[in-house]
Amino acid sequence: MSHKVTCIICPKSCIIETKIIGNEIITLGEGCNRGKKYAITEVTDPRRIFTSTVLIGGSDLRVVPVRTTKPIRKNDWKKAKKIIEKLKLNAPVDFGKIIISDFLEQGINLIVTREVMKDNNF
Amino acid sequence: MVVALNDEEVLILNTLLEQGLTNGVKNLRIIGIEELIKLEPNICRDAKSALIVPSAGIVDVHRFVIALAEFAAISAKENGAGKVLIIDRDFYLGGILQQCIHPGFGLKKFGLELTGPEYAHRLIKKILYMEIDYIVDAFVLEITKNKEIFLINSKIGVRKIISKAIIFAMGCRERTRGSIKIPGDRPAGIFTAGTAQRLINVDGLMVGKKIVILGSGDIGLIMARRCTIEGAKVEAVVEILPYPSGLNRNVQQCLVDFEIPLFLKHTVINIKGNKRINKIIFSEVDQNRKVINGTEKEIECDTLLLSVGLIPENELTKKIEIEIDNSTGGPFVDNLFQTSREGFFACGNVVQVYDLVDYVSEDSDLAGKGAAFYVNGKMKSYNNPNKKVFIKKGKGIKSIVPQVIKDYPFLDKKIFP
Ligand SMILES: Cc1cc2nc3c(=O)[nH]c(=O)nc-3n(C[C@H](O)[C@H](O)[C@H](O)COP(=O)(O)OP(=O)(O)OC[C@H]3O[C@@H](n4cnc5c(N)ncnc54)[C@H](O)[C@@H]3O)c2cc1C
Ligand code: SF4
Repeated sequence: MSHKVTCIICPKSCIIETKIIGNEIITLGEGCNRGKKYAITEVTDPRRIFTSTVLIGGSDLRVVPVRTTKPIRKNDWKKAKKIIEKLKLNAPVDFGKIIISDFLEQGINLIVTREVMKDNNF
Repeated sequence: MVVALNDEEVLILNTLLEQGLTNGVKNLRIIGIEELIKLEPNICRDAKSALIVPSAGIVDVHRFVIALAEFAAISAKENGAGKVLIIDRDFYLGGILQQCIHPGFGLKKFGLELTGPEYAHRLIKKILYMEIDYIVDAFVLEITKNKEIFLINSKIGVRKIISKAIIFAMGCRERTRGSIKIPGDRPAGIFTAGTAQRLINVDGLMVGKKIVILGSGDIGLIMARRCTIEGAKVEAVVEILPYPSGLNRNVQQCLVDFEIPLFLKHTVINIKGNKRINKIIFSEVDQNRKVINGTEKEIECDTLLLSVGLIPENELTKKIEIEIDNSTGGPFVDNLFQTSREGFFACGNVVQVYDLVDYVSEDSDLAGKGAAFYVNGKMKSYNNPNKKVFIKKGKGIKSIVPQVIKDYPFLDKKIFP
């Protein structure tokens, strides 16, 4: 079985052909090793970094950006959104603060990606 | 600096000082009128005293002034430019990066896949650490050929700042419906993609529920995904070209992942709606981008996002007759990003529209270096017209930056015999 994957790791966006032969996955067309690794997970267990925003009080900003530290299962974005929709943080929040550990029980953390001081700008 | 104009305000200054000290603001102190006049010769004569806040120094005669690009500021400072000031009209530092909350920044520079705010955070920390001054919420109205800067801020009013060198880093602006002339009604619900991004990611306001995106530039693609995650239905992305204009990785992770249809060789030909947009009509186009009659289709929607290109923001630059390259929309620059006017530098999206922030940083680094050399008087000898090479475009090349190469001593390779 062969499958074409567009690598999303860097702007080059190589198109990588993957072939499953027995227990092995063979790749063709990757520009580098990271792409090879990506293509293999893409056909076995596709994952994406999830980013969104969470409400915050006590600051000039109404929302603060968040991300998962590692990629979560690709189809779990709806579940992820449902969970963070209910959250509300309060300023100040430190850069990189973990707001949910073991997010979606995948051993990955959800962190804040912007430092927010009280009534302040960054 | 906060200035007190009467005795009552002097009392307020004292309270501010106490508050600042308890909040851990460093180097706060109150100064009397003599020192104040030394620091700020143009101060209003009614002033009694002032509270000096070094981390937000505003009024001062600067050696050196900058309009954003944190990277240029850092590089200028590191190269001995003396006093550096960043001015930005937004209420925070970081520019467009702060609204680009998706990952994809800094692969080249940091070897990590950072989000925009994470990339900005690294620079802002460095700005604070190096005690580079900045003023936010301040709009630069005008810059003169003598390097005077006029800015306006709701708290301090209109101010003049005198500088020795200026780096333009005003970024770019989005093309609007007006610039591409889509006919039809004039209802609410039409946004440029970047404005929508700002509303959603910074202001926490959703733009609509049923969305069509015109243009498949990276901002449009990123917004297709973002709106979907926020619960909207993105009905279609419509692109006039036969190929997507954004990166393929974004087509994959923003459209294909979410099964959002992409219509290539199509364009929006009409907008319908009374108060709010309720429908768009789009058509196929031929090789010459002419609408093919009889191919009209309709999509019901309450929002149309436009991602139809960016234009470098050069109003301030043009006012002082700095030469603009029509192929980039930005000023002509040399290999240290000096413009056609001595002591005026430019970097980032104001020079040309960049795809990747890493390249903006690289070039801003050079601009900062250039400005520092200029301020220190090291640049004079390099404005020799004999030691200047203009780069000509070959066939198939749309634009080149820098357009001029000068024999600066710190170039890696010697171009001049
Ligand atoms: C949606 C989007 C997605 C992107 N995605 C990626 C990506 O995945 N990876 C990547 O590497 N790069 C990406 N980029 C590109 C990169 O982020 C930008 O090219 C870069 O950040 C531009 O920096 P800049 O300093 O030139 O401009 P800006 O960040 O736009 O800064 C210009 C600043 O100048 C201020 N200003 C303008 N005029 C005035 C005035 N008169 N007075 C005072 N202040 C003024 C503005 O308020 C603004 O803050 C993306 C860009 C966008 C828009
Ligand atoms: S395979 Fe390597 S070079 Fe190609 S897109 Fe992926 S990361 Fe980039």
